Amino acid sequence: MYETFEHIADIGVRGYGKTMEESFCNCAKAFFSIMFENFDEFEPENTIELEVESVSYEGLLVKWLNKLLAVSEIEGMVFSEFEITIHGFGIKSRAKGVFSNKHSFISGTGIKGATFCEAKVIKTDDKFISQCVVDV
Amino acid sequence: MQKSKLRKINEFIWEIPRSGEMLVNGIIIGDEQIIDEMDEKVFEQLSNVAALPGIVGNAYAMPDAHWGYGFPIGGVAGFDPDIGGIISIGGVGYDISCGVRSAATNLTRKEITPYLERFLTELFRKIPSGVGSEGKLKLSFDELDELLTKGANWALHKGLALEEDLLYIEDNGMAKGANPGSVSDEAKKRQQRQTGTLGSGNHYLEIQYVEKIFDDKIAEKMGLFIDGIVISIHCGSRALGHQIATDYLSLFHEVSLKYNIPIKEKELVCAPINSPEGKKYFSAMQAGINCALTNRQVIFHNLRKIFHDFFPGHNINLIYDVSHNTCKVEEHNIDGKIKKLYVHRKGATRALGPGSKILPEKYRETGQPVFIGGSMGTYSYILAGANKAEELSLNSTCHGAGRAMSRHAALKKWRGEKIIKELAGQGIIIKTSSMRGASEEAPDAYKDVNIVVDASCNAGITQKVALLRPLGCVKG
Repeated sequence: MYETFEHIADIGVRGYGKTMEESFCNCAKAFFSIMFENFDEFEPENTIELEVESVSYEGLLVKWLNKLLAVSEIEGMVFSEFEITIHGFGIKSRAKGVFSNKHSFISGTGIKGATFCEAKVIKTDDKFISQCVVDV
Repeated sequence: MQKSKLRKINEFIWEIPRSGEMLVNGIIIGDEQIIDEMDEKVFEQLSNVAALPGIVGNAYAMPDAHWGYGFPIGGVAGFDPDIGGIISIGGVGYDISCGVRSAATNLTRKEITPYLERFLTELFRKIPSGVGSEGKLKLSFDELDELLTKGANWALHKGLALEEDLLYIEDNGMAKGANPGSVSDEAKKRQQRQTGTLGSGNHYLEIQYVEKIFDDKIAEKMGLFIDGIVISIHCGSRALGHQIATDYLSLFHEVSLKYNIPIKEKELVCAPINSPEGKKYFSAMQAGINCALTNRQVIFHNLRKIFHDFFPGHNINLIYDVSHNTCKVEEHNIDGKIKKLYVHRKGATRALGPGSKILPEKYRETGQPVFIGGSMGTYSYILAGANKAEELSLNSTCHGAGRAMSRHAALKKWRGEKIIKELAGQGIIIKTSSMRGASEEAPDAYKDVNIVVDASCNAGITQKVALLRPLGCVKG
C-alpha cells in the first residue's frame, strides 16, 4: 500500500509493507504515481538493475528514489514494479517498467528530488513505514 | 508563528533575538498578519541558519517565507569566506537559479485578444512543458560543457539570443567560476534533451496585460503601459540543477563532519567556502545557474520567433531576468565596512536599489526590476528594488505569493478540468498536459500576493511599478 501526504509546498510519499523492502517498493510506487497518474497501467517490458549505499535507512531510501528518478529520465522509462534486497545500508534492486515514448502516460507533477525532509523508516508492531517529502 | 518569541522592530520588521548557538539575529519581513500565518518551522530554520559559521549581518526571511529544506524558502544569508564562512546546498535548493524572465511588448490587450487562443496553442505546441519534457536541442557533453561555462553567451553564439538580451539578465547571462568538471555525468545525461523546456509544477509561461501602473517613470523605462501585453517565463535549471543538488547533498554530510560543522538538518549540510569541497560545489552550482539562464534564454528565443510570426511589426523586449535560488559573490556594507560575501537566496529575489553600478544603465536610477508571480487566476506584480534593500535584507525580497494550501489538499479539493473551465469563464485560457498540475496550482491554493508585496514595499526594500492580470498560461 502507498499514499501521498501533506507538506506545505511539496508532497510527501509513503509506503507500507510487511518488510522494509516492501515498504521501500511501495514508497517508489507513490513516487512514480505523482509523476504519471497511470504509471502502473502497462505490463513492464524492461528491467534496470540499480545498487546504492548510504549511512542510514533514511539516507538509503532518499538515495534510491533519486537514483530511480535519474535513471528513469536518462533511459526514458516509467517504472512500476520493484524488487529489492537490503543488506546493511545497501540496496540491490531491479526496477521494471516501460519506455515512456511507447505508451500514453497521463502527465502528473514532475519531481525535482527526494529530500531528507520528514524522511523516516519506521518499524511498528506489524509493519514497516518508509517515507520522505519530494521537492516538486 | 508565535509573536511572543519575536521582537517587533516596526510594523514590517520582526527580529528573532540572538540566543543559544545563534551568531546573529534573525530578521523576518512581514506585517502582523504574515507573521501570524507564517509556520513555526521558519523560526526554527532561520535560527539554524543564524548559527552557521561565518554568517554576517543577520539571517533574513522574506514575507513569503515558509518551511523549506535546511534554509526556509524565502531565506537569505551572507557568509564571509575570510572568517570561515560556509556555502550550503540548502541555501540554494534543488532547482538552482529557478527564476522569472519577463518581456514587454508594444501589443495591446485588444490587439492580442482575437489571436490569443491560437497564439497560446502554438506556444504550448512548440515550447515543451510537463514531466520530463524534452526539446529539439540534443546537446553532446562537449556542447553542454560550453553551455555550462558560458551561460546565455552560449545561446548568443548559437544564434539563440540577441546581444541586447544579455544586458538584461543578472550577471549578463553568465555566472563566473562555473566548472562543468564539477558536474556529474549523470546530471549531464539528464540535461542533454532538456534545454529550452519549461518543466512542470509551478513553472509556467504566462501572457499578461498591464492593469495598473504605480510609477509612470519606471514603467516607461521597462516598456510598460496600461493594457500593454507582457509575457513572463518561470522555470529553472531542469534536471541538471536537481542532480547537482542531489549529488552534493550526498557528499556534504561527511564534509560537514570533517570540518566540525554541526548538522542541524540534513539539507543544511555545508562546507567552508575556502575548502576544496566548498569551491567544488560553488563551481558546480555556478554551472547550474548558467544552465537555468540558458534555458530561459532558449525558451524566450523560441517565444520571440512565434510572437513575430503572429504579430509582425510588433516589438517584444526583455525587461529583465531574475533568479530565485542562488549563491552569489557580492559586496555589502556590513557595519560600515564593505565586505565580499557569499549571499545565499533560497526562494528570494535579488533586489538592487537605485544607484547600483551592477545594474544595466537603463535601471541604474530606478532600481532592479523584480517580478512577483501570483496564481494563474489572480495577478502578478512588477516591482523595483528600493533604497532600504541593502540595509534591511542584503538587497533581497520575496519571490511569489506562497501557498495557502498544500498540493495534497488542493488535489483533493479541486479537479483540474473544472479549474480550467472556471478560468476560461473569467477570460483566462490555460494550456496544460497535466490536470493534476492544474488542480495543485488552483488560484485559491495560493495566498493573496498583495499582502506579500505590500509588506516588501512598506518595509522599503521594493516599490511597486505595475500590476499584471493573466490572459493565458501554459502550465508546466
